[in-house]
Amino acid sequence: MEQFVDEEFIISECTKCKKIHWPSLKYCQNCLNANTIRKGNNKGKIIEFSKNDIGYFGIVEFEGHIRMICNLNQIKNPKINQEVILKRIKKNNANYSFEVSS
Amino acid sequence: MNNVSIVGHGSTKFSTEDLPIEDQMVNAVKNLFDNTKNLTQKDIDGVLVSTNNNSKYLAAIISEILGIEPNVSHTVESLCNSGTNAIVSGVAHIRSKIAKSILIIGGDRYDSPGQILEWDQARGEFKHPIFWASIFTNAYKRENNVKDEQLALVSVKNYKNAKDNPNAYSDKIISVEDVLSSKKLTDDLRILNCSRPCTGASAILLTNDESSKKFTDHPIKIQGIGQKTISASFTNNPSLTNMNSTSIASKIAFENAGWNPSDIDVLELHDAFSVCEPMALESIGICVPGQGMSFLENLIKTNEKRVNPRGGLIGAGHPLGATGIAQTIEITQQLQGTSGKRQTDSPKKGLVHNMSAAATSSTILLLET
Repeated sequence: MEQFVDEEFIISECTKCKKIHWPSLKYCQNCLNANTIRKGNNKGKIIEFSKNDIGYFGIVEFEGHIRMICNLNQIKNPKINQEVILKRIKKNNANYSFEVSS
Repeated sequence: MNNVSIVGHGSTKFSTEDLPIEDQMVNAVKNLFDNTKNLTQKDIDGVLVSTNNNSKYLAAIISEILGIEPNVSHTVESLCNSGTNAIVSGVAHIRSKIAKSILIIGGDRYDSPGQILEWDQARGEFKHPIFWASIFTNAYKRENNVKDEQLALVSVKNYKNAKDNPNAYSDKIISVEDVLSSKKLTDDLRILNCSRPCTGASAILLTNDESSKKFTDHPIKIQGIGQKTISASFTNNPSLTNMNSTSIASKIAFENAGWNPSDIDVLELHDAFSVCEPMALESIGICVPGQGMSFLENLIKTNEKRVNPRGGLIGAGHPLGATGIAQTIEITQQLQGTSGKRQTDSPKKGLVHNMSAAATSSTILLLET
């Protein structure tokens, strides 16, 4: 059985230029200054999606920059630019699963 | 500048057989030696291997098996465009006069670990390439009002072209109905929209200008190279309907060759999935954005083979580390006029497009007779 543990939505933010990133990085991609970590805003919007026999999946953008492929099973009829909430991040070793709802 | 030419090539048939990668690579090089005049092991200054296989010290091992003692030998890995990355490295070695000749051998197995990029955690539980391909496909269809029936034509064309390629994985003819009724992977992707990971190897020999005529009467010059890596993560692609890395790599290659997209007579495009072919045509500048599919439909109506004449990745199969080299061999043969039933109408200039990991990285090679 796969053992998943819940994780918080933690992002890194540059102390100088404020660029954000997920997963967290030690140094800023933009200016290579040190990053700090903080909680991410869990409100996002759907950028694109598709569907397999389990359900919908798609790219969701958070804080206007961070994009992740999320499980959209809890959304009945997803639409481009639809606002969604990141409800849960599950992790098993290095494998993540992102669940969003409307 | 010290010009570089392709003077020899060899390949195995692509299959899904459970064969050691070393055997595949050795067979491809043996085929190259059989096809190249005056070539001995002592003529080879460097051996570069392109693969995603986890083998250790493979360039030295293949060299030893083949009785080659190269000055330069190492492995090049960059997922699906490992092959053209190795060619670029080979060209750089020759232009810098570190070597006069470089043998490049690409190969992988059907179970290559290069199919999945575990590092890309932003893909969540959707790490298999079918998920990025489905997202690209849905975005492309919506933006350009393209139907599944139209994208199916890409697979139909490439299976048909592969039928004339003795090294291709497929020897089947398929119809649009076959594609649309094949196994459904997602709402936007059927199994016949996909290339298949294969076992196989391809090899190519590069030399400087002075040495080229010793090995062939028809050397093919590498006139332009462009490369771009946008990121490693799929979700960092700035567009889901344009291959941004391909556009930038193309611009660099055309600038350094002094050519325009309209100069190209024959192309090998990285059709990992059917949507990739029209997207690549638009990203390279062969046609304007949104017109890739109608460009292909016109080619299909007139039975023109100038796009993916060997059958592309969809028809020929996709042994990751071999693919870019097999693509380059096809354009070489087209320009030499030795492609047999696949031969297009006297091409003078050709293009190779090889990309990795959802177009996060691309290589463009421009070849000329």
